[in-house]
Amino acid sequence: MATAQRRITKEYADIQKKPLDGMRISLPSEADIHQWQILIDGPRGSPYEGGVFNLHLSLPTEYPFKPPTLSFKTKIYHPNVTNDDKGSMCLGMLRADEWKPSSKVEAVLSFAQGLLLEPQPDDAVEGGIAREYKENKKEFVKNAKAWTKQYAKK
Amino acid sequence: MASVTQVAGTHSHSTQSAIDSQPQNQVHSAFSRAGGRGGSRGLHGQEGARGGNRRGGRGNRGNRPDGAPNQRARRLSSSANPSAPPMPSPPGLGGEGSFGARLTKDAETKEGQERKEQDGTEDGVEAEVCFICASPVVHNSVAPCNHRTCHICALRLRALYKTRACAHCRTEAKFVIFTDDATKRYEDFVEADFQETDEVLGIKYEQKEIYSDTILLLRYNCPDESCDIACRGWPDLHRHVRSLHHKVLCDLCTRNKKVFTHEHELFTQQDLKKHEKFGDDHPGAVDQSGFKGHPECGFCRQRFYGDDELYTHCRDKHEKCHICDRRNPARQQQYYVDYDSLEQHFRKDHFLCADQECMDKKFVVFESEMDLKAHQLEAHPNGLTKDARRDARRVDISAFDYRTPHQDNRGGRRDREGRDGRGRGRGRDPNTEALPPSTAQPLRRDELAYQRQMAIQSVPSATARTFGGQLTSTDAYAARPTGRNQDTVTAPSNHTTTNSSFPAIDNLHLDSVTNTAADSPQFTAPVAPQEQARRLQHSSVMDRASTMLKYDQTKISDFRGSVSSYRTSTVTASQLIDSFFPLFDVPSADLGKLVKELADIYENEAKRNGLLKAWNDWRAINEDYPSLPGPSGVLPGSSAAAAGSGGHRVLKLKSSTAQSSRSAVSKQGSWGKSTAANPFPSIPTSSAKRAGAGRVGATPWVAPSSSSRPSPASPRPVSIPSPSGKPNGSAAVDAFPALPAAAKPNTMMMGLTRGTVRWDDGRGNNNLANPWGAASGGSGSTAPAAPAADVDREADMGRKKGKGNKKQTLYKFG
Repeated sequence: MATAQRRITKEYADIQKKPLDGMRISLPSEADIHQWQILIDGPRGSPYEGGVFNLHLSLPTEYPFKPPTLSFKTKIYHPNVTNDDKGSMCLGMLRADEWKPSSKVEAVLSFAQGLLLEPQPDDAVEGGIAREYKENKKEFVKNAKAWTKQYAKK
Repeated sequence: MASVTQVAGTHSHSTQSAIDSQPQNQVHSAFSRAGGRGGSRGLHGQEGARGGNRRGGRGNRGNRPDGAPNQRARRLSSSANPSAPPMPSPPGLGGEGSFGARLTKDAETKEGQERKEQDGTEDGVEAEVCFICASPVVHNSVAPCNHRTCHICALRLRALYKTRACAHCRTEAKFVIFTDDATKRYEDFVEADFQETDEVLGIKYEQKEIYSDTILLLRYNCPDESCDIACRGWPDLHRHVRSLHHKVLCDLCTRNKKVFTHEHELFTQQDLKKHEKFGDDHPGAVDQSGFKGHPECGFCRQRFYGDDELYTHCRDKHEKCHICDRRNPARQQQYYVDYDSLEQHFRKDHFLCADQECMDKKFVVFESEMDLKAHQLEAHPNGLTKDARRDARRVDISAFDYRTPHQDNRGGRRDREGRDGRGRGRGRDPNTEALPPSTAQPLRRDELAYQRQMAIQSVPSATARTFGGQLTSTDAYAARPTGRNQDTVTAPSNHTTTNSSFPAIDNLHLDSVTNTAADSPQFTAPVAPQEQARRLQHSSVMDRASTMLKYDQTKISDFRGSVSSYRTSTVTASQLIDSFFPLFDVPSADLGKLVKELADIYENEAKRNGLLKAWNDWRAINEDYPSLPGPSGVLPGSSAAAAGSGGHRVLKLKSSTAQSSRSAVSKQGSWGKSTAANPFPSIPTSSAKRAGAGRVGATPWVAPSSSSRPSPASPRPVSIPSPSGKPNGSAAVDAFPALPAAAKPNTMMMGLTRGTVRWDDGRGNNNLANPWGAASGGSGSTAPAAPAADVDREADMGRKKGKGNKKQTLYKFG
């Protein structure tokens, strides 16, 4: 769909022109502009600091009328990221019923970055981690740091 | 206006399905025009878009000659813009004055040119680009929230995505305004501004030109770039592209893809296949779509537009196992083609309630045996329905061992546990495990009740018994014996009685008895030759017999008569036993006890041994043949005592079957005959003769059975036949020993259980069975023992017992 094509191309160009802090975006395959690879630095002050997380953004053919999907390829200890091989990230704005065609990838990525800094345990996909985050933050930080060290090494 | 109205009408039609009435060919022109128009407003960022502010845009669109200055002003004062800029003059720009004209190609061309010119003039300025589609804006769409998009995006959302939500803020809007005024706020429009209104789509058109452009988009325009044909509908379009362009459209895409008609792709047949299978992603190409093909349903071989559609299809047409899903939510979705195959899975890997009602209800399946039991207690307090019992044979319930869990806990059935563990199921490799023959013998309720009573009453092994009795109906026991045989073999150690078959019922008693049976010689010793002792024994026997006969005087006297006939050698031992069956409607285990006690009464060792042997023979035959050898080694082939465990099960199953058959079939009639006729030795023969071929077959088995595992296998074959019909056929089959390998224990079990014939066979066997005799004695004893054991073992039986067990279990619980 030409629409998606044009829009994605434009967004990609914009984002390359004005990169987001702490993120490096590239196309794993120049041939496919629907798949983006994003490397996010663990935000300073978060337990993920010092780590680099590899994310995969997939833009559907019907983008921007359908939301993209974002997943962590790097294992991360986070209440909003599924702890499986998919590493799906739960972002409210990415849900089909909340997605707005006007939302840009840039906003999505910024939001994801914000989640690293400030998890949303009330909107969690990993209940156990969310509980820990709320009730025993120390432990959470410890675990998150350990995972970051183990899986997200630069 | 009249014309307008007409158009409107057409339009609405078109939106819904086909714009068929419009003969015009301008589709293309419309687009080209759109492309050519250099919208001058660039919306930068959402913010800009949102307030309707435009940055750097030039408000001027070709058609609004008077607008520029005002627009700018408006833009700056984004808020209320009272300025009522003169209504844009109707689209009167160069040559396109009339609607009609616009429809023609010429008009469009003109327009396009005009636009281009304009664009050219404004080249220096950043073109206005739709925030959503990143394409130049042709016409504006303004929503009540004053968010703007290009009219194409707005139309796409409304006509194709069927949503009236604003692309920016998701605010629902009944109407949006399509206008060429780049800055005019929604609330500043008045009804009089609108030249056209489309109630269906919820669009008000400020200019007819926009209206016609919109209509053009909605028509069935041929996707071919060089073709300006607009068809009347999908069929027409399909025909058109096929005949004129020799291409096809992807049906799935045309039905599901949310694009305008002309945006669809044309394929050659080959390309279409590729498109469906792999998508038409052209790596590196400008028009790559990211489309990976239409997924296919592996069952139906039908393709669906996307994963969502496939999911919906699978959800509606196929089945999923909720238990597996619950266990492992993360696993990939797995479907079964229909409920039948899902049911097979339930049988194989879970615990399915075999009750007919539940089978009809479907999905009455449990993750654990305990859950199943709980369900059965609650839902089938009286045991399975007749139907279920009947069906039980057919179905491979063997796989399920309702009792198993319970029993496992109780008794030494380690062997079994290992074996039965979890996967009892039909699907298992028969050779892998000994099949637990399903023991289930369906009893009638009254029978069950009676048996239960009996169990409770039966004195000696009160404790053990009670439990057993309660748990299973007598029949159940009987059924178990089979199982037991195996058990015996396997786990002889556990039960003292290992060898002794009969006693099984009363666990405790059994042992002694069993032993006796096993070693006939020993029996002698125990017997008290003295008259007094004899009397005591006699009275005890009579007490038991009376209880079992429910104090039916007629029957009691018949019993007495039979016993004395045997004493006087008027009848043979096997005949005596045959005569018992019509009298006693109790589990074979119970009967076994009685027979043992009775045997002890006879001072004549020959008589005693003869009776025991006859009983064992019967048992061996009825309760699962060879397998029984449980007596370990007794049987010829049985050397493999260890294997025996399997044999036990088989036996149990068979026995259960036998009993059931008994009750079911003419208990009496058959017996008599069978006895006489059955020459067990020649098992095959017997089988032929006997209706209960299954049993007959069983006999042969005996030998094999002794080797525990093999026997189980053999039982299976037998059972199989029986399921369908009754045992007859199976008998022949059974022949035998060879069977062991065979394996579908469950089925077999079922069949066996039911077959009346078997009983007969059993008897015949008894007579003939001598081979068994010795062996059978063992086996027989085993069987009896089995009863007691059964209870415990039921769990073990697991699969083998399968249906039988289940049933039994149910009963017991009930």
